Amino acid sequence: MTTAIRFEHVWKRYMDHSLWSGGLKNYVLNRFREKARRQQRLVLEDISFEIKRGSTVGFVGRNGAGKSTLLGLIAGVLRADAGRISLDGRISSMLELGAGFHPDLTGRENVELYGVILGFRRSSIRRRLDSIIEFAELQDSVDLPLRFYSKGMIARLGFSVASQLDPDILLIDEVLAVGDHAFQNKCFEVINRFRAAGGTIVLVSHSEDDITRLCDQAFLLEDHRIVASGDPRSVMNRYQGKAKNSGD
Amino acid sequence: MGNHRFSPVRYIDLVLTLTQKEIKVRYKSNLLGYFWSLANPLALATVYYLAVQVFLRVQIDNYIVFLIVGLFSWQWFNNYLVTSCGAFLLNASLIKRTVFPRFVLPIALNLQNAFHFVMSIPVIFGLLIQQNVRLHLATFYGPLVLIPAQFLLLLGLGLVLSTVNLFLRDVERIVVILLNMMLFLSPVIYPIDMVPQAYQKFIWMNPMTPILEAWRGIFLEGTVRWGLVGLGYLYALVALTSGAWVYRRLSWRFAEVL
Repeated sequence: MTTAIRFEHVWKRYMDHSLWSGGLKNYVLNRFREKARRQQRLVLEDISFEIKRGSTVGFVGRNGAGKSTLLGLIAGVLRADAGRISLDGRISSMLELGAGFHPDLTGRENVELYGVILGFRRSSIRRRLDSIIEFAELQDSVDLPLRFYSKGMIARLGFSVASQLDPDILLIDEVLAVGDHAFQNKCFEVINRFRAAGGTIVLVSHSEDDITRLCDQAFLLEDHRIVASGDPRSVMNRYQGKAKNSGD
Repeated sequence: MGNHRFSPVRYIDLVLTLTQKEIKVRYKSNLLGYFWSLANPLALATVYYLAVQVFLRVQIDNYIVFLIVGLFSWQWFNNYLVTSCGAFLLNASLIKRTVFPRFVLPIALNLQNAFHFVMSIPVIFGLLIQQNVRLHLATFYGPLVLIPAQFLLLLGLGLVLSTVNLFLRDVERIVVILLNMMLFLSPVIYPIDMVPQAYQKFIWMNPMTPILEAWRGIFLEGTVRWGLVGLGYLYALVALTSGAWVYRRLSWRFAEVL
């Protein structure tokens, strides 16, 4: 088995907010304060791990532990400050389903738009349009503007488009929490089919069910570091134990 | 960001789809979408005509055509630069969640504004006929030469503004003030010959000056003034170079600051 994702001593800091969010005026004022310039917020500290091809791996941790940043780094939306990230294969991310959907456009128009943003050719998204809409079970409302859709309907549409991609590595950020029970089962089906075909999955979730049911391996992120890894159930136990102790 | 490989065809697909989306949204929300894109410059033209020609009694030949030509071009400049400040900022969820070449956003926005400008050209032609201005061959092919110059100039400036505004969020407000000032420091409501010699060189430093003057040449004199067109392209090159430089230096941090 080869490695799909490898992190070697990866560090990630964010720029200090106060430096730029105050606008040009504050920027000019703060420039002269060397200390203010140096202040950066640490998000990930010396992260190293390997994910084998074909495995399904879950990341758990409290809000702000750095899970989303980690997925962002894998997806290529963010760039590491130090360390090496090696990836083998085409990545597709389901970080937020339907990012970029426009409320005034119809479901059909949004499918085209979202598909093109995800990297499809427009002609190929048009060819798949019927099956996408059928999978989302939205045949009746496909020509309505999106503002008439419920949250669950929008998520279904987003998942249907994203599931048409043919990646080697799939990133999922708590998107399974949306949609009704029947649709969630459908999502699990897609994910299981993807796993059976040898795909690699990286998943962020708070749901014990998702982690223990889907994952071969789990990592616990705490205070910007990986503090536990291995069997999903024991990592989950440790996460939940910790959460109780600290009163969360 | 090398996971997704975007071929040139995909860039074009992406830009066209985004542009189409914007135009659709604009024309969907109101039936009079086309009228609204004309209303502002036409209203301004009426007011300036009254103020300058009627009240101040300044004589400028074909002043109504002169104003309309200048204001339509200015409208594109003004609207694009104001909205370009939000080109990345208002697409935060896309930039944070998906990997695609971010610079297609200001391109699509500019194409949308260019589309509105092109749609307003028939109004200029109607006015030329109504005012008995002679139409020359250059009146027809001139826009094909000049529209790309204005497009590229604006794209360069827009790339700088859209990028910088992410990091320094008050740039947007400064831009609005500067644009209000620039309207009167550009040959939009007066011809550049009326500006005293001593000040003319400052007016020429305004990147829109050669393009505005060239538009007048095309519609009022029926000639493509190549010197001005060339200067317009030169300004466009400078703007694009700066835009590309700023974008390349900062684009990797976009997802962090949104």
